[in-house]
Amino acid sequence: MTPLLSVRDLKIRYQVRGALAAALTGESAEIEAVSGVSFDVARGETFAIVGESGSGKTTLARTIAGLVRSHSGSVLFEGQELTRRRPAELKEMRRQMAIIFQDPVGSLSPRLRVRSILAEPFRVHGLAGKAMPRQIDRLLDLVGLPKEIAGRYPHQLSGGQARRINVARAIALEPKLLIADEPTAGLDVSVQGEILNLLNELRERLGISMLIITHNLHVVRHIAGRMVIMYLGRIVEAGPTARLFSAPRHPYTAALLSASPRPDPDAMLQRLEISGEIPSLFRRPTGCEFHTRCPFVREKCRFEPPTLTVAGPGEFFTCHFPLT
Amino acid sequence: MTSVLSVGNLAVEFAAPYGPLQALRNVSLEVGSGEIVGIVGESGCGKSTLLNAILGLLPANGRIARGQITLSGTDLLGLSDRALNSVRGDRMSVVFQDPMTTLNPVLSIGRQMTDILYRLPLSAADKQARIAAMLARVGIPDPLQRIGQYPHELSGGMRQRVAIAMAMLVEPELLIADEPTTALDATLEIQIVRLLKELQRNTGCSILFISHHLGLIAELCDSVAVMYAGEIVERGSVRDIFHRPAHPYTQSLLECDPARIDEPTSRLPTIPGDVPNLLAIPAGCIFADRCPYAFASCTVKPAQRLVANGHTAACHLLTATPAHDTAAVGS
Repeated sequence: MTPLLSVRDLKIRYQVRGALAAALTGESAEIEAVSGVSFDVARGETFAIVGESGSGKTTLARTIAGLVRSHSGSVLFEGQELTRRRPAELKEMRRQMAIIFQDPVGSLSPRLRVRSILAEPFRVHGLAGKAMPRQIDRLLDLVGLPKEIAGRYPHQLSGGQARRINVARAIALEPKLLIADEPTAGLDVSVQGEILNLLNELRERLGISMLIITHNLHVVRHIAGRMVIMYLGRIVEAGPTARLFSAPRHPYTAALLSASPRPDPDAMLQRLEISGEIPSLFRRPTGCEFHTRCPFVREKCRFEPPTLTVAGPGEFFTCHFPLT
Repeated sequence: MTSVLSVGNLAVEFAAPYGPLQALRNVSLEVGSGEIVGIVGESGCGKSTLLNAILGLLPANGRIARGQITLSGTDLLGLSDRALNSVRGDRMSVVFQDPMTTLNPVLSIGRQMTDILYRLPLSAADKQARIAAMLARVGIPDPLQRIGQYPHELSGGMRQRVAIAMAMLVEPELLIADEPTTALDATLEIQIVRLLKELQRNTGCSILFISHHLGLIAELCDSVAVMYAGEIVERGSVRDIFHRPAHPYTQSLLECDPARIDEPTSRLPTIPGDVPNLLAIPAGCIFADRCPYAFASCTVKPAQRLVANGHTAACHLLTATPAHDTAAVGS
């Protein structure tokens, strides 16, 4: 069976300065925010893309949703190419694929009531009709909110409620794939759990596949079956979530895991700490791009880029000296 | 242990259209000399209000209804604005959440840091040397070169290091850090926490660290106060709070943290219900309507009770132990 979503060697470039400025500074006019990324999302699964700020994960999500144009490579949704489509054709595809954006309040129009916000997907696709009020009640019920909330404005919602409205709007047209960009960012721990439980429940009840973009590894662990780790626009490790948590092969994966420890004052004895910050995309390091921060760096890493090593189906890493 | 900061029975109210909003009620807190105290709580629990009350930065509609705040014996509430100004930025300083908005974008790093040292009778060259030394101390490479740079030329982590350098430049007795790592990536969060710990060790200052991030609190702090809806519900050493939480809210909060759940699960624990409306505070225990153990006594306000030495919690489940007098404020 073909995967629901299949991304192949996707490259996304941004022009960040004019040709003259580029010539004067001697730096390139473009940066490659996503640099040759490939992965598949199967039907009914939750797949996670993990990375720190600047890793290209949000750009990748927006490209899959057709909001950013790619430079090369392909995005296949149910076997159909998405990258070189006209906007009108994309609109039809977007019924199948919905996105929840990072900022839950910022992505709701402040001047529309919840009722109108939820009716909008139907209106855009010409599906609004007499049944609208019932549809809206049904959507609110699906995300566990009371009917009365339909009359409120976004500023009258709590962070968790706003997030639920975003989820309700995204699933309004019963998409096959839900892309969630940092679904728990900015939420308190007690509310985080509610949103993750909701996403899990929707996947089970409605069979929606999920693509979760996050920097929070603890979120991934409880929701995603498979995951990839991104660094500077490339995937450095991919595999089943359980495997990456129990035996990471790439030092960056290991460093991310140990940077979000179990909150326990006695459990921080062995930590793999990495120094410095993510390098600039204008000056990608030579060799292995992680070598500037890697605690296990050796001479070879500075000059020779590691090739992709396949460790199993959908399981690979790019490191000269894997940890396991 | 002598206390550097002492907050006693503090109550803060905000004037709101429907009557006073009681943002803080009966909050007592001690920060000992050289101690790192964490305040943990979810949004709306009053963490920031407490910090603003200590700094004398409450908004115009906020007022301190009751209580005392003293810094090494100086009564901060009785000070004139002028006198308070000389305490802030000299004896206590603060690092805020977002370094991009706390640094002035149109002044160089060096200029902003020199400005802080206006009180010191030093030559410009001496000030420059002192700034460079402080920048080096917070882990900024090539400090002399950085002095001429502007905030936008620095990365997020570097900016927060500069903000910490500015706060430490005056050698404060008390450093207040308000969610200083929230805007940073996980690998940088750890670096900043390490830096704060190291600075504390080297300078001997006390730190009041405010965060909603349980992992960082566990890593950095000596003792912890847990806040809920404007009250401190539990206080104790970091091990008391994380290993032997006594208050049901603390227990629920720890249970909710996905980082503490070892077995992957598709149903994460949550705390059902909502935070109470601060315009109409319930008469009894503030957590009663969300508490899994609530019983008849919970309609009466619980007192802080001693759980163990230095560990108190406000909960009726602890009635076996004698009531602990939190009104006593060290001077």
